Amino acid sequence: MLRKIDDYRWEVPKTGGMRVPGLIYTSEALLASMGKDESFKQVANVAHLPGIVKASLAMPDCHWGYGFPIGGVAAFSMKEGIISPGGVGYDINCGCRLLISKLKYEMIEDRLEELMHALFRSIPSGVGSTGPVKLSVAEEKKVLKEGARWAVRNGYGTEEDLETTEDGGVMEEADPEVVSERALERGRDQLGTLGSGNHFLEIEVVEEIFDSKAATAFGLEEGQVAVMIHSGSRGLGYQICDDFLARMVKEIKNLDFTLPDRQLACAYLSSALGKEYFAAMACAANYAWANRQMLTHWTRETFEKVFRLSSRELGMRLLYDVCHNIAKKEKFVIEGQEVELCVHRKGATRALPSGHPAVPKIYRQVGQPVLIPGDMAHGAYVLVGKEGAIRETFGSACHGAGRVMSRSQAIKASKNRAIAKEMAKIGVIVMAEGKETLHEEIPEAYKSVSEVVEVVHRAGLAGKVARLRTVGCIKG
Amino acid sequence: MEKRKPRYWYLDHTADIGCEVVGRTKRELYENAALALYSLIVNREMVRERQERAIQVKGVDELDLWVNYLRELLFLVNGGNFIGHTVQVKEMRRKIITCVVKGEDIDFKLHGPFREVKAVTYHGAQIERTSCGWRGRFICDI
Repeated sequence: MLRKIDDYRWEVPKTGGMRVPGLIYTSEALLASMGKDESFKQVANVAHLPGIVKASLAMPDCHWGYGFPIGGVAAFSMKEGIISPGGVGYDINCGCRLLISKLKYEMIEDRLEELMHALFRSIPSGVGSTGPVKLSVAEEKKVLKEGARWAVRNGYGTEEDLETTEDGGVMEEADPEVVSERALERGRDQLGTLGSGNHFLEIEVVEEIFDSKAATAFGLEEGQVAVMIHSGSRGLGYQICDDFLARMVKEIKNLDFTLPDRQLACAYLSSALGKEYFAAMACAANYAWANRQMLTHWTRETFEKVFRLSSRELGMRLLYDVCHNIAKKEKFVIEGQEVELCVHRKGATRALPSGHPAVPKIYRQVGQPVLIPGDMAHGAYVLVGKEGAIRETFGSACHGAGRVMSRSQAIKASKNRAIAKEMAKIGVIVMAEGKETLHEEIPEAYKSVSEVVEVVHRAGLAGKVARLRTVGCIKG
Repeated sequence: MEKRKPRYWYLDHTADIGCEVVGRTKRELYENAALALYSLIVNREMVRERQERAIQVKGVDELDLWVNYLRELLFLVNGGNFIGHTVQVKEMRRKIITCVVKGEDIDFKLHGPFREVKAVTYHGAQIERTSCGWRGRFICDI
């Protein structure tokens, strides 16, 4: 079924109802683990959707999702194409941000445990966690409209944070009036919460620099302490996805094409329902940015309290914030013409090269930072967007390591093991709130993040800038 | 005592968890599916039947009804803070179902450990008549 193009690219040839071929970025080693699940079939299924441009893409961290594979990227024509809630995912604008500091690891080493306990107390996490902010419906709608700007306006962070957040932390197309009451209700008391499952807050140390020019531009140096936050739009986002999937399934019979999987339910971008979903999805994206902005604020406060240092002394600057699950209207040159496309990234990040207007001014000479979390034991990477991403993947790269074991396999594999103790032995303090979270998230449940990153690096989609070592991890 | 055959079991899925459910009748299949869903979220044995919630769910076809029913039960949990112990089907037609959920408000300490289920997906959802009754399948995003 797969045709090898080169060491990092495999094609899923166009067959049956596929409108374009599939293109998978991977390596021989990663391919072996991908073969176990249905992700290739899902890449092919996405290629059936109307208006898809060039190819149905999958990143090296790709694995079996529902409808779209996780790690999937697909761009659709604004005129003839569709938008699919399943192509964005339930956790709309689940994303990742990295805060860097002026602290060096040796300055915090002795107090790491104290810091972790303080963060565990100040960052609401786990299932059913609610934040300290209870929003009125009117105020919640402002969050949905303004995103991270709402948070900054209310004292959670600074204007500079917005400059280094993807699209300034707001999607202007948001319209709170198309969001259901159910979604609004679920969003009212969850703002400023980490969530559960694979969401986390990690303390990292910059371990190795690969590209000193980009590292200098990003403000990264060896031994530096950083914080990575991974969270999304919480129940509000899940509900918006669920609401629109149900509405689109009802309309399936009226579409002029057949779907290979109901979870791919979609609407034409030019239709009223398609436009409504886009406006609602943008609301969830904005909620997620406000959420991560608030978590950032409390993280800074906790560092200030624990180390008794001023914000200036700590210098905790937001390096960047990227979306993992999103659909965006972006311009690309296709067959010599600039066209606007709707790019779905489900478990993928934007990766724009130097000179691109959407890259923050301070990074424009080197390119956009791409943040790649790994598993608890193997740390994370900071990459920089490269020209290849614009040519081949609609400015996209991978988003993480990608699961290789199901959650229940991971629980079975780690039965009777004291995961927190194992991690402590290798120098990582971990804390978790949820049922079996640590067992589900054992390092061997994930692909090798280094292998995944190597593929996007060698394929020219994003270049390696720095590797981070995790020393503390709070799981939801 | 004769050991009762399992009414549901869980399937492996890389990112998520699938459930397979059986029932002698379609009604029983729906009632058992609720047990599968609730057991995935909490320690169901600890949930008491202190309150009731009546729900009515519609679908455009049999499969849509199956998924919508489970979505509605999940909304009671995530949006209504209400966890069921059992579900009793009152009326069942091809595209509409009326039932009563018996349970109580979620108590994280009593009912835990708690697992967050984000959604019941259409992906891989199935419902079919078999030689010995009915069989259904659904995959949750967790």
